[in-house]
Amino acid sequence: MMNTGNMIDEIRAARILAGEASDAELKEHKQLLESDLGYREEWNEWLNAWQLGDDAVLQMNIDTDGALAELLEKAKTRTVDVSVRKIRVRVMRLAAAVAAVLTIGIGMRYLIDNSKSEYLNYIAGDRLPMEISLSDGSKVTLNRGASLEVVQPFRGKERRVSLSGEAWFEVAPDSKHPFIVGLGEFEVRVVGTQFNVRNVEGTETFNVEVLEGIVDLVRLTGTDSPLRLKAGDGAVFYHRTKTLDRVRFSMNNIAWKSGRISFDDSPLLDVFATLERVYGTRLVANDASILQERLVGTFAYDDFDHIIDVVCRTFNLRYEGDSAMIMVYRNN
Amino acid sequence: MVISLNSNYTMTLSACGTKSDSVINETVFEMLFRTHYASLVVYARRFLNDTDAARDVVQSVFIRVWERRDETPIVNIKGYLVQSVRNRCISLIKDRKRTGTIEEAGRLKDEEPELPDNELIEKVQEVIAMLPPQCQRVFVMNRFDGMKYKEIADNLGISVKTVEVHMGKALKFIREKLPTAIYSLQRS
Repeated sequence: MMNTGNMIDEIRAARILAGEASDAELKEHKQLLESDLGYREEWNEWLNAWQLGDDAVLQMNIDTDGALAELLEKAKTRTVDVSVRKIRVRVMRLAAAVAAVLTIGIGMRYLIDNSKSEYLNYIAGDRLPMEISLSDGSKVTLNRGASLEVVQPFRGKERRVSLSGEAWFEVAPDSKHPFIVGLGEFEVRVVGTQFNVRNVEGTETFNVEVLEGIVDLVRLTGTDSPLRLKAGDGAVFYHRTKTLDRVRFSMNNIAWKSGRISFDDSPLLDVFATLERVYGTRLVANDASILQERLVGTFAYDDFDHIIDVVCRTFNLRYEGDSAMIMVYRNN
Repeated sequence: MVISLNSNYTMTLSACGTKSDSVINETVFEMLFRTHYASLVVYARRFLNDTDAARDVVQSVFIRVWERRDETPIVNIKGYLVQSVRNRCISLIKDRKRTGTIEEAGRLKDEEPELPDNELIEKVQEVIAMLPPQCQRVFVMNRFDGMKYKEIADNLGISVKTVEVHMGKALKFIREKLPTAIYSLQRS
């Protein structure tokens, strides 16, 4: 890391970094940062030196003895206060026996208020979905990487869970105790039904698809009335535009749970789109007419290669590629 | 054993079975504290930009370690401490984002701060220790005690201009010595 130059005066640099610079100085500084690459590179060195100096000064002067004394004092008298949850918790130790379950997923437990209910956090692993049975008889299947937070056994007038990722819900009917899936700004309220929710962080939408029963999608902010979804209905919420669309539910959207993908006279354009969605492999045809061929068939979910083989044999195609992308050609 | 579950969670599994001799008693705890406290506060401060909040976070992590001391020993204590501090900082930042402005919230996600390089920081400490006494005093009063230039000037009975010169000198010295500090690190 060489000194790139000395066009910046050290007194001025220190003033800017210490927050003592005048508005005029700051303005000039910002302009130079934006317009002059050499200035910016040199500035980064000053900034780096400043931050390391900060860290060093802190570490040198920190009162470890005092902190230790204070801590031992506190430890003798306190009850644990987790400011994040604002409830009293005591972390229970995890036995190594849990390691066997880890390939599928894990659960973490926290005691709440000395009562018998526990706050549970289920996290599905990378390889397999995770099945969870809840105290009311409902079943939740978490897709890979998904997580679910719930108090068990259920307490109070509602049955609440909080979801991140994708999960399939089979909710036991109990009209006196609505089942609610929290998704941040939205809630999915159900009475007794089977439905899928996909709420993955970092994606643009969340989706709800209903197989059986009735689901109300409630927006917690604003005054919209709930969107009621019945069997065969689905909804997609776009985070950026904050719009909620009602859509038709396709069984292929839950292929990961049903274990099946079916095509009923679907053009390969749609078939490829579905396969891409489900497996993450981009499917491309070098000839647009390929995409118009129509496919009928039902396949097992975990058999991607078989599906491609059947498609190719049916329409006299060949393919090449890898797990990221596959290109399909006509055989001539 | 540290297991990575997904990008948000890692977990440390502790060894199961009978108590081994690496149980944390007061002496061991004190040693752990003295060894790691300062650098963990530096790390937490990189997230939170607030020394007091950083101290609170690290203290609460150590209190947890103390309260769990009779339970199964943690195999990788340093890893556990770092993860706990990191997780708490991230929670705090998320809470702040919910209730306050984004600027106050702190650094997160793509800008997650790096674990401080202790050796490098110690080298910088040596560099600072080489500063002339008044210069060093001024730098520490501004960076550690958080005093403004005017307050430092009044406190030490010197002019603000002199304070500015001292601050500039300290910064320049650190910057110039840094490449050699890193070079000597690579050699050692």
